[in-house]
Amino acid sequence: MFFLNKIAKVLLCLTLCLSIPAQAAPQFTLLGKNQSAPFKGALFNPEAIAELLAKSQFVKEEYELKLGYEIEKQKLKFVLEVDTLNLHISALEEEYKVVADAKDKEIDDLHKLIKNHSPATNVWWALGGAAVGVATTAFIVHVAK
Amino acid sequence: MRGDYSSLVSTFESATESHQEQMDKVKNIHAQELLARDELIDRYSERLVELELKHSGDKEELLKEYAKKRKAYVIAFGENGEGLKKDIENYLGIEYVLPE
Repeated sequence: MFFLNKIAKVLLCLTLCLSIPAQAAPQFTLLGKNQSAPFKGALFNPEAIAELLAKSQFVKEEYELKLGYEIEKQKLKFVLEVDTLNLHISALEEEYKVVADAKDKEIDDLHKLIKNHSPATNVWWALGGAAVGVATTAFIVHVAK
Repeated sequence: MRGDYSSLVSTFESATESHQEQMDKVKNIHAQELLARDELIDRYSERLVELELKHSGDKEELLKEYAKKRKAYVIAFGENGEGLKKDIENYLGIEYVLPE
């Protein structure tokens, strides 16, 4: 039984191997009308073969053209994006300068205001206050006596 | 005291003026930016139209070239087929065999 199975398998393999036809190399020939063909195959008329040849070149060139067009389009888009961003950066820089200048001016004004109320001016107020205090005390003491 | 008040008021007025000026300048910067951006978009649209026109022109040329080539191949086949034979071998990579 085991032998029979093995023989059947070998026979099947051989049958399959022999039934596969050998692949011939791709070939073509040019025929005149009513001329016999050297091998079995499909016969194209001149227009069909011209179409095949021209189309194979056209498809390649069309693809290259389309690729170039799409690349140029993307380039334009990116240039626009970069230019817009650069423009925005310039505007923000200008804006920053305006705000910083205004803040500087405000700080200067506040400095001036503080300077006008500096301790140098307050000393006179303190001295004046002390003098008035001493005078008042002296007057009260004098009246009390 | 009166001097303090008046100097405070003048500082406040000066700050208000400064803020107003600052706002005007910022508005102007924004307006300028928008104008420049519009110009950029206009230029982009113009260039895109030019590119599309060029592309359709090129494609038209390619189609004409394709028709011309097709015609040339038909003629080549009609003459002796030699030119056609070479092109089939080159473009399609198929070997030529003599007919019987």
